[in-house]
Amino acid sequence: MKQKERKFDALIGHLSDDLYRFAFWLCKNDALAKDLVQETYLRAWKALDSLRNEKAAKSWIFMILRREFARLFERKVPPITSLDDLEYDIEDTKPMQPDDKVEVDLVRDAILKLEPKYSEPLMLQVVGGFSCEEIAQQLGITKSAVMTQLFRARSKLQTALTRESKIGKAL
Amino acid sequence: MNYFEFRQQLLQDSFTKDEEFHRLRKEDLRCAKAYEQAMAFEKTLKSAFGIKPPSNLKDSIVLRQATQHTVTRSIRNYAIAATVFLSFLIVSSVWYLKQPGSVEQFIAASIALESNVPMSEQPIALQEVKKVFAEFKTHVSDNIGEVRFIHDCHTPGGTGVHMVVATSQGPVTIYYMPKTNLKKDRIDFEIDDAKAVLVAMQQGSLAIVADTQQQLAAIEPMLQNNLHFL
Repeated sequence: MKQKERKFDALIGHLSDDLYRFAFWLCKNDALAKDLVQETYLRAWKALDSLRNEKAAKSWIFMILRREFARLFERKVPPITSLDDLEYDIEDTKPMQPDDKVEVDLVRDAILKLEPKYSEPLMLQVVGGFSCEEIAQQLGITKSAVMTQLFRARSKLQTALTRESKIGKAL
Repeated sequence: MNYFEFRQQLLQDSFTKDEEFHRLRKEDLRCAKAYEQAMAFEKTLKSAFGIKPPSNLKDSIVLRQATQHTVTRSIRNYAIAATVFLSFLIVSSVWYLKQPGSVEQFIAASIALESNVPMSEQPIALQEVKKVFAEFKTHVSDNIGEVRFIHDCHTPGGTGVHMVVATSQGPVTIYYMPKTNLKKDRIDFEIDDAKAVLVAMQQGSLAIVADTQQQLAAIEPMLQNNLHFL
């Protein structure tokens, strides 16, 4: 048991913060995200013996989280498309200048408006740090489809950011 | 890779290790500027996703695992206890059902007390038989065989009739128990080497004890058809 605990901690123990961030943007709710991460770790603990390639532990646990989300949480997620609808007050990891904070909030607002097919690959890339090949494996789509979705996701976010900035300057 | 492909790459994966991409980033001014803007955007994007996890997240994960482990163990213990209890219940029920009931025990005891089957030399007249059954509000409609012994006797719940009928294969002992109601229509059992059957009647029940199954098969319908509760 001790050996299993050590292996578990070494492989995925340090990933809880990234998993929480990924879960938060999937659920758009702090409590659900916390529950989802806990469920994910429980599942991972039970299935640890089935992990053949230890180098793929990160992909493995993100995959578990996505499956748990689809299995238990997807239906509970309220439709949120704006930061104003978010009940949870997002706390940033770093203190920011007011201008930067405005830009970050604009991007967050735009992320909430993205369709899951665009936001999910982007989250996996930015939060999870996965390559396009790994994202393709996770989502079960081709690498070129992932690249297209990433391209469109960033384009949408940049367009939103530029538009809102122009409105801000005009005011 | 041209400028447009470079920009496309920036929107797909600006942290690519592609050599051509990095060469353009260093050598082409437009690409360098686009790269700089893309990096600024990536920083904003990273910050946008970079929310602070709850401070108690790790503790809650550990607590959930510990609780789940305890709950699983408790459920397992309850399941084991329930299985043992149910197994005990099933074994006890099977054992209980295989045990002879009080009526079977009474018949077995009565047979054991008889050293010899009581039989008269001559058959008893049908009128005499009818008279005995009449005391129990039971009518004998026809000949019920060659009765060689008939007498009232103690049966479970009250007085009944003890009767012996002679057949070509030997005597058959019959108990009519007017106060005994069976839970089933028919219960077969054995007393030492003899075959016995309890049969539910309109009123009470009959116990028939014989040496062979054939005797039982012959006597049982005859009694059922000719004994009527009034």
